[in-house]
Amino acid sequence: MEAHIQADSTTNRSLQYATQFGEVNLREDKLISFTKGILGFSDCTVFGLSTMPTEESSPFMLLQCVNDPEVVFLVADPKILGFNYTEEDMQEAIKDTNFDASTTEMLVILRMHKQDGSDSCHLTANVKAPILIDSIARTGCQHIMTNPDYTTQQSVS
Amino acid sequence: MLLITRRTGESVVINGMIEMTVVEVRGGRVKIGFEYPQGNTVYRKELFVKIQDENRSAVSSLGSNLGNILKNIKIEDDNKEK
Repeated sequence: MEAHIQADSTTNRSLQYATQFGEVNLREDKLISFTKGILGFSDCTVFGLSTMPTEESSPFMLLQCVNDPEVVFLVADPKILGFNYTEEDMQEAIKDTNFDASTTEMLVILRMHKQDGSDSCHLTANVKAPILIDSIARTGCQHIMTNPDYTTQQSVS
Repeated sequence: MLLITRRTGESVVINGMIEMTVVEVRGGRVKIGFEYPQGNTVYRKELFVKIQDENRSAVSSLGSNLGNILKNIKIEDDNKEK
């Protein structure tokens, strides 16, 4: 996976990544700063959010790392997956992260589980540790929820 | 590793803003209290490690043929309306 910079027609430079899902384009002025990195990827401090390259109406999105082009997370809005956080837990996450509640969106990281010896597989969502993104400040972080009801492998399919 | 001996009720202060107090010592267990500014986080290490492992597994789980697999995954329509 190689990234290269290209000027597009609107003069906003974009970064291009060849991922396993197709080519991802990230506008440089829309990049998101994760100052604390993502847990397990502390060197990954800049990401871009992209729709799925080859699908028009997919519930999934890609969180592509700029520091390390090999790192890409499959993410989704938890509400679209049928998962709703309680208002209390949302407030806790906002308070702990110091993000602005009115401009912050939440995403969950998805993981693929393949069954050995067959083509079937299913997805789980890490609802225990969602990604918070302030879409105006262009900042993001991963927050661990204290609520013991949330799991790192919530079935979504 | 810095080692400091503390009795019940005594504290240490980290970076001038994080206060950690030994609340109770019983058997092999220690109850520790934390006072820290908003925007910081304190987790049990095993939870921290679990999330790190889950993130790494999430990245490595995305195989080359995933694009086709995702097309076949159905998210219930009634969820989308919520």
